[in-house]
Amino acid sequence: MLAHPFEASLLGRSAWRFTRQHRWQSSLTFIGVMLGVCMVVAVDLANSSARRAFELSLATVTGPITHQIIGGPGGISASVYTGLRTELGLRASAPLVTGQVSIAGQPFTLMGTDPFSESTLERFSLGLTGNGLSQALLSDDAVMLAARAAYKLNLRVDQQFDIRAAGRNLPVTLAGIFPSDNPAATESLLFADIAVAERLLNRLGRLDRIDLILDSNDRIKLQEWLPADLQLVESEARNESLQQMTDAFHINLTAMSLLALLVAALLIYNTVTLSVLQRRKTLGIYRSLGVTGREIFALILSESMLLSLLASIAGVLLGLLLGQFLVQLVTRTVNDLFFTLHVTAFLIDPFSLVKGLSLGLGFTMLAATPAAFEATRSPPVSVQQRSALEQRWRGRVPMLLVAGVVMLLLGALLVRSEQGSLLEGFIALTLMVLGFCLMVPALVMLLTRALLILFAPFLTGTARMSVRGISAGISRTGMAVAALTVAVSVTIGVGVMISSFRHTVVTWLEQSINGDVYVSRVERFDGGLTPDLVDHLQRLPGVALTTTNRIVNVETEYGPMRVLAMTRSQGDKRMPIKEGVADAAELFERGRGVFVSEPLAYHQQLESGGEISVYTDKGAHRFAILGVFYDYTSSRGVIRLHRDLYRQWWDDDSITGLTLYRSTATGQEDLLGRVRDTLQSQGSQWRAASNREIRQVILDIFDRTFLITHVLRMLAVLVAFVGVLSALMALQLERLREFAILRATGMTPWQIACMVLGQTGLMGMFAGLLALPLGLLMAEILIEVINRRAFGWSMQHLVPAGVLTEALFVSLAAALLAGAYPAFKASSSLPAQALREE
Amino acid sequence: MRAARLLMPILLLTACSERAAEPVALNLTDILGGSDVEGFERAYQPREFHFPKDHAAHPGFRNEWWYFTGNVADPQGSRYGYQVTFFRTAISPMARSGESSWAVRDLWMAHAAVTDINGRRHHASQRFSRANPGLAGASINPLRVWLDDWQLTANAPDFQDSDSQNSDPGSTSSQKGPQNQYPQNTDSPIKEFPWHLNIRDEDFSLQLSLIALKAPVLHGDQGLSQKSTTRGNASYYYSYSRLDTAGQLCLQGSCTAVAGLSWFDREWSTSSLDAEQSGWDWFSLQFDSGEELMYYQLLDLAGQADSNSSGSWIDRQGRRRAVARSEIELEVLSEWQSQAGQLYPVRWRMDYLPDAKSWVVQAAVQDQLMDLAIRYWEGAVEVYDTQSMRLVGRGYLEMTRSM
Amino acid sequence: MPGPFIQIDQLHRTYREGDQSQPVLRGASLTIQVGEMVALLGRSGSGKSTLLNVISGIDRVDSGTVMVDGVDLTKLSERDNTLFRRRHIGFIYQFFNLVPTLTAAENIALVLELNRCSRAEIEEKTDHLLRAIDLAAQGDRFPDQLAGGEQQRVAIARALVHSPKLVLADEVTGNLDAETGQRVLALLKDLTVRNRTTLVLVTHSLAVAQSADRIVTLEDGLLAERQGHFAW
Repeated sequence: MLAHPFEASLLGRSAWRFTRQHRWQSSLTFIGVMLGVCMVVAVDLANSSARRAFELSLATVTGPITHQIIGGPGGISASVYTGLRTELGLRASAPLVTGQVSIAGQPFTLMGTDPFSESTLERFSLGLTGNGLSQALLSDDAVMLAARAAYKLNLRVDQQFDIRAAGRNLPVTLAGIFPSDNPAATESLLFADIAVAERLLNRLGRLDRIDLILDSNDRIKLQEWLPADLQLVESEARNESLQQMTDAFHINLTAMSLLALLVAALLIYNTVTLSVLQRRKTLGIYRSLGVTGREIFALILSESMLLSLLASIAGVLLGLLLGQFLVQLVTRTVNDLFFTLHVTAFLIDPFSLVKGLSLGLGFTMLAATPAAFEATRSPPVSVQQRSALEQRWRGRVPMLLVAGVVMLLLGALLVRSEQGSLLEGFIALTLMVLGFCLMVPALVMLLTRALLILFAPFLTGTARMSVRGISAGISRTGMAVAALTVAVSVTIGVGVMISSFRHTVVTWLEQSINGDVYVSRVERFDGGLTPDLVDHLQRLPGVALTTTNRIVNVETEYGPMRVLAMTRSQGDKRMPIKEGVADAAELFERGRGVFVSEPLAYHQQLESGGEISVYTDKGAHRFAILGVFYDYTSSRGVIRLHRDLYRQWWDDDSITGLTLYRSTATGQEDLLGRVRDTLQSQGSQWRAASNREIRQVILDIFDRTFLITHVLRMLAVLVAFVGVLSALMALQLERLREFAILRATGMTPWQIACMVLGQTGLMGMFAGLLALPLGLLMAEILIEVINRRAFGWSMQHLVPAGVLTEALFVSLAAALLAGAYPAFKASSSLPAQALREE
Repeated sequence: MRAARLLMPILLLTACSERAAEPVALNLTDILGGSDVEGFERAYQPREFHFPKDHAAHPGFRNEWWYFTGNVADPQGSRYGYQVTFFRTAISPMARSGESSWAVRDLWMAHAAVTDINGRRHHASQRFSRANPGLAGASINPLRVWLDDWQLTANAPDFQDSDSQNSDPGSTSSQKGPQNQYPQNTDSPIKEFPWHLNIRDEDFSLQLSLIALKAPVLHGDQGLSQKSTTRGNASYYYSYSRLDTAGQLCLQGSCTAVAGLSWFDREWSTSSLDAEQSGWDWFSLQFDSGEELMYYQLLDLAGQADSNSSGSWIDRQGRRRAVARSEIELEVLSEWQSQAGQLYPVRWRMDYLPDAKSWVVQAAVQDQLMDLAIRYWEGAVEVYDTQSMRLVGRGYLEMTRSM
Repeated sequence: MPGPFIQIDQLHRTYREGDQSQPVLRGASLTIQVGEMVALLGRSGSGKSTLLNVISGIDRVDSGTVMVDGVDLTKLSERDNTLFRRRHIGFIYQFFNLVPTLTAAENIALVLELNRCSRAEIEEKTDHLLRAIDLAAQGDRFPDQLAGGEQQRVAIARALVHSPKLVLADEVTGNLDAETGQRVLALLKDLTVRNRTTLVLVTHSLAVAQSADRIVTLEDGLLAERQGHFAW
């Protein structure tokens, strides 16, 4: 090589000049790769941040403990803790009273701790000494914040401020600020002495949790001693079961970002192939001059790798920006669906960046290798024949078709089993997408032939030339259309999935939220309605019927779960049933068993006729499962039972919510007004809402959940658009010389422009059309396989016309835009000039 | 006199765990001295004692402790010393407002130690807790002093003195002197006993039954023990100077039956030390002859014994004779240096001038440092006759030094 | 020892496309000495270019041997064939076939770079040849900025710059006007003769062929020495 290794070789210089000459092509590829990598990095960062937040949230609120004692809805009596220490001598134990509060509108988790117990656990050391400690212990309103939280809230020690807790505004005093090894983890925690927390949360005498460090002897001793209504759980197992719930969600997002990268990879494949074809002659000259195949392979590959490296770096940087935005969406979804995170920091995981870079480079390597290999087979210039190349390609088309069909079938086989893993689902999805991709050239040939035959009488010479141009240059057009098809289909698949899901939820809401007025406490888990109030409301004029419900979180054999105890099932109108035993509704009324929600049934493989073990106030009890109901409020699971059955097992007669049905003569607004008037006279802690408002709230949560999916979809649309643009534009720019000849032989600039636009438009159309079946197939897999396996939700299918037209529009618009510049250039330049250009 | 450690609970929360006790450079007088005593009762004058009522807590005073020390031996003749202490300190004179069962007023600390004299090893451990809800406390009917599962209990029904039936717990109106409530004969156990001391820790455990062989002794002026010249810097202080002790002692998993003698101190106060006082040496000696001597010397900033040093001589019948500072001569014969560099006298010559007695008091093991949240030396000692160098008794020695 | 530099023996080559097969060489044999300039004369489609490709190892034969400088090219692997070509053969084409993204000088230098020449050597030889083809001032022009004759001169320089033992020229004047053709031909001849480079010149023009030492004709897939006059 050269004496100066840093100076580009002549081959490299030539490649660089080529890239520069084809800067449209190069920069669009650059953008495609950049966007793909950006999505992967952003999603990965968001995921890892959210996951880390989850871990930290759990770790900071649990600490080094091994076990937890969890109470029923009423919490744990303090005397249990006393017994634990004085009778069993379990010193490594700490009582906790916790709840959600807000400071200046920001959510905080209030941790009511006993500093003495915490010091034994070596946890939550707040660095209190002397007066600070005395104050924390003695004053009724002393709270402690992490240094960073105090700084952000602009609070100083001894300063008074208000917190909102249990529906009230309460003045507190900042008694201390503690430093934290992990600021992110403690930023949303508010500490107070347990006695203060009890008062602030209005929860006297009841602990939420007792945290323990136990060895096996202690565990056995404790289990024998523990009252039946309390449950000892392994904290790690509990944390894990909480974490697993969100894993599926994260995997789902990752898969979507990878799908975008796949589209980007197809783009790379497309451009690299094109650039090889464009340089066929130059490569032939190289061959004649004695450049070996190996050298050409290295040249082409390093060229794409360099481009991809730059694009990937740009993608990583862009991903860092986008990630900050996405992490908020992800965290919010996790909050809505799974677990309240008090950590929201954006944590840059270097591994995510490395992953983005290497995925970008890896995909490029994979995508460029076939083209680079193809390049080594470029014959020396003296024996080159263009037609031979096309012929070879045409010979391959049937082979590709067969391979594609085989991959499609393999994918179909993989998703057939009902209980496959999520990973299998994704592999199947990838197989089917690639399989379809391979079929595209054949389908394009078929489509052009059909077009020529069907529209033969209407086609002008120019038009015919446009159409034939596509099949004649199938080596270039086939893969371009394939890449576009996949890109566009992703937008269809995800779009259909979201619409179907939303439609399902809306339908479900219509069915299940059918009362007229709903009354509940403002703070969700804070006590409930008083019997007086319930009685009063029931007697309001215009109330035809009332039902009550009680919502509590309980421990089950599958981790913490929401239990909904209700009166009257309204002939089950309120509970859309998926499946059930015979007379399920009647048995439910008679308290013979429970219903489980669909996600719970799916994940734990429960069905009617089975049983589920729930920890009640009277100890663990196995409830018969009468049926499975549709539910989209929790991915973790919900158990429904009749209030009578609940009262039988829990010493809790609170009512969380009341549903009022109006008599036919009463207007909904009238009743709502009457209820609100009544509530007003009772204080401010009550809230009434119409069914419409409730539905809106749930839909808002739903939309928030899928906002990130929407964002990713829009990005995929962008990548697809760039893909169509780059592929088709490059294709046409390459033909400028050909156009010049046509101009020279007498075609008008207008005719040339029409031909170019016609051809790109047609290819865009093909891509859009072919994307329809692939997109619908993708939606089917996303709905029936991926989301089902991830969340356990079943959905009705809805194919919104908007999504389909959008897909067609995107591909057509991008295609026409892609044709515009070459058409302009071809029609405006002098033929002689173009002809002179080698 | 064993005042100092009361502020430890407060220190505790300086984040570090119990294991990592920092050398405590506290000014003991801050807590035991005169500051911040508003709202608490003070020990101004002698009071009447009522038993067992006075075994329970005196929440009107800020600091209070229940203090057991003892020398025991197993059937093979291996000797052990032990110490168990429950400390109470109030961080506020008022009961905390609010209905929370966790409301804090009193903080508790407990220390326990075992000296394996033959093995020359000293084991010590400590616990802390808030009092509520029922995590630590001291009550009678039945007697119970506890912190977690470290407990002192009496399983026999409490001894009821004749007037406690009709006097409420706060009352001090009894007409009888305390000594009169108890049989003078050391052979007949006092009714409220036996007491049970139950201590379990990782390294050691103690299960001891204690039976008082003598009536309680009121130190100082009828139980008012003046600690410095400032009025009110005093405590109420009584002892059971001789308790027959038997039970089981376990050290690192191996258990043995033990028997011997114990000493029980009870003291409560709100303030006791002056700013000029820096520590003390406290002796509780039990002679084979059936007599006991309690003597403490308070040290000024220069390390010299000050005039408030005093003690009690208890004869075989349990009668007390006050011991004044001028009646005791103490000379340090040798010292032991802790890792932190503090010197502790571990061999003393003690002359009791009224009876012209002279002893050598010597630590059974040199290192009996209580290296806990607050550091002090507390350990078993052997008492030799200076003339014959014959072993004439055993006891406990406590030394505090503010560094 | 001046043995035969090129020895072609009984070459057979048939192109097949679909059902049709077209025999191009049917037992062609030829011997060329070192430093000889041989013109290969034949009609369009007679297989002249095929023969040239075979001699340079670019195309394969069905049977027969091609010995160049004692090496049987038909026995070499694809890679060795390429490396042999890189070192020992120079190519000149009718359509110049310059690399469009390299300047004239770079096109010439490329061959030297491929042969791992030192930077100084590359510069020196490139300059030398640019002067020899009288294009010293146009060295940094791109091919599309050069006239046809200039391009062909660059191509000649590129073919000769690494002092190959053999130069193969395919209708080098075919794309040039008569006068330019003459000048290019003269240059080519001048440069090869100076280095005793063996030159095989493919042409359909007798006028061009006559400037060679020897004329060989290709007809019906067979080679024959041209004797006497031959009218096309």
